[in-house]
Amino acid sequence: MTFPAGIAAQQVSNKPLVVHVHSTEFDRSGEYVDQKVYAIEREGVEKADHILAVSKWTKDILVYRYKVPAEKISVSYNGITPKDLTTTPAIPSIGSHVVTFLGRLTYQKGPFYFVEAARKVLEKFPDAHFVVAGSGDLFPQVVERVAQLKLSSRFHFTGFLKGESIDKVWSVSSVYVMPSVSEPFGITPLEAIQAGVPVIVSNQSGVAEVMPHAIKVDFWKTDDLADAICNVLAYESLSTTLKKNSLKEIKNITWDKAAKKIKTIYHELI
Amino acid sequence: MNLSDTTTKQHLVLYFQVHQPRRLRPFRFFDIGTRGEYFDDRQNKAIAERVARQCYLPTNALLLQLIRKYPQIKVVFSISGVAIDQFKEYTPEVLDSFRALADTGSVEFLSETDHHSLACMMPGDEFELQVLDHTAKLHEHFNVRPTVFRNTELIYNDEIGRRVEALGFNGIFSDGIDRILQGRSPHHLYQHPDLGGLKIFLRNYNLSDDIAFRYAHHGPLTVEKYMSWLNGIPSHENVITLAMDYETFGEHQKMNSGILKFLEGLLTAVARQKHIIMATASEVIRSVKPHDTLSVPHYISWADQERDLSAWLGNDMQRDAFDCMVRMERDIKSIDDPDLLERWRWLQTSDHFYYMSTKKNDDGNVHAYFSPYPSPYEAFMNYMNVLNDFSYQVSEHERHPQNKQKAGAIRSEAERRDLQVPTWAMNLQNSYEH
Repeated sequence: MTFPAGIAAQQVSNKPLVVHVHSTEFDRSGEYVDQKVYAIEREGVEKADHILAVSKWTKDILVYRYKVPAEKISVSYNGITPKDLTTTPAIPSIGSHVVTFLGRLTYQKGPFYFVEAARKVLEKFPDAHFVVAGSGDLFPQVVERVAQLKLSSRFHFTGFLKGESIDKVWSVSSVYVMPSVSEPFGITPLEAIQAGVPVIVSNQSGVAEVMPHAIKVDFWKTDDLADAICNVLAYESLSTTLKKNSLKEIKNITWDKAAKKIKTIYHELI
Repeated sequence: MNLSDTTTKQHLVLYFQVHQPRRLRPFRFFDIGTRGEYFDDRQNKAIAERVARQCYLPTNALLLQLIRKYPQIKVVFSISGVAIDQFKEYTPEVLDSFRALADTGSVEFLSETDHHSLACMMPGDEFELQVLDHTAKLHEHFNVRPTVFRNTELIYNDEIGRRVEALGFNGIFSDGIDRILQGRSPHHLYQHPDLGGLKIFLRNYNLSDDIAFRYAHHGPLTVEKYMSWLNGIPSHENVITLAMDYETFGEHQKMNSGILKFLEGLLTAVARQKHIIMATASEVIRSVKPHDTLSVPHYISWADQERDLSAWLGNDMQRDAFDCMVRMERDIKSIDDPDLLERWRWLQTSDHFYYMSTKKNDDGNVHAYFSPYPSPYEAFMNYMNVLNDFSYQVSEHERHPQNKQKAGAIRSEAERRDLQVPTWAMNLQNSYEH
């Protein structure tokens, strides 16, 4: 929404405008976009001299939905600030199989796919627990759907969490699932990894592009998602290998790297 | 040069590996207990046909033509049993073309584990059984009796050397890696430190990879350049071993890269000069005296930068999957069902574990090139789901023993198979220790 300001500054100062795109109206709303928002975003990316997209996923949206020429867009991934694993506070475990969803309960994050996959996982792991951490406009509907499926005893809704509470959730999680419909980047999976939790992410996310050591599924394929969850719960060596390798991998996904890339691009423009 | 002919002669041993695993079909966690089919026959057939068309048939035709023209050309093949069986099933013309090469007498076939497995890492005599199965298969299809061995992906150590010698072989192939040679040249015939002195051929991995991996990078590699490298090898280094996947010719390096022309040019050039003579492994063993003993206490192989077992057993998933497979041995063998046993052995093929490697960079890229899975994690999940379903099948078998009629049919089939084992193999079977 800062696009008009950017464009004004560009016109007044006669300097190049670089636009950083971390999310688009299509990520947030799917096919039914708010035309007013879309118009503003479209003007912003059109007027920009160069665009930095947070992933190839986002770059593709800008090319196909906003008709931006691909050569005007560079991809610069997000990073994560290194943090020590050992400081994580633990809480009493609620069970040996805990599957966690952590994020806003909105269309974009795909919470219903999580519920649907959970229903299938419970056929094989009747003792599994499902933590839904987050709030959002879909919260009531998600709770309702879980009740309708008679799964309320397996689900734990924590509401919006931050800081230490998140760390506590990580400390009891067997696996983190991010079934996002459209995720420009998605830092939460990296935070889960940092806390020693293996992750399953949707192919429709930027983070999938930088994290080879995660299991990836299409968000709408709840059979695949359930299958992946079952596999991680069933095979300890899978879980440990995912953890070990992804922890190593995030050492290369740093803000420092992102900053360096952006700096080079800025220099090229001046 | 006034040294006599035989001392100045250098031998070139050219060995090609032929192998195709039986790839698995997608098998979900939710499929466990359905006792479904595990092997993707359609995909395996399609791949066998493609590689036959692109590599095996044209390259075999070329070799046959060259050998007829230049009888001094000698080639060594090792064809895994899983590949032979798939040729028989899907592309019998490939089997015929190898048979034609066998009939020239200029081609030697090596023995290996029938299922291209890591059986050398399993307890008991599974390794020996698979080797004998393979020698019997070679005899059946090519009418040859192998005397030289190559283990899966050239996995080797002193202990494997001992077991291979006990099986009656007099030579083995491995990789000429620096940490075992310790300054010595790979261009010699070495021998096992034990009394019997199993002969050891060491691959020159640089010169082999120049063709197998770097052919295109050399812009592409020319026969002249390659001959100059061969000619640059000091004349007292008298056994040059080149070894690579046979699929290099037309499959890994596509035909339009000129790889086949290169092979033709190289073989012709070698045939036309005098001081490097081509030889099969057994010819070298007969005519060349071993240079030195070679002790290899730790496992080596030709795979990845590490050249050890880490390509197959390098991470927790790989070791877990392998152990789970091995643990089924007793149950499988206590059921007298050749079909189950055969499928269990198909699951031993090293490729299944190779796909689960999570190595990065160049090695990771090579693993990914061969893998039918999007990631090592999918490879692991699929394999484990199959294995769990298979365990379930086996336990069902135990709970519900076959009826008498079925049991009788299985017994007579087993007897029939027994009779087909050549007597020399039976003798061999009795000669090693259990």
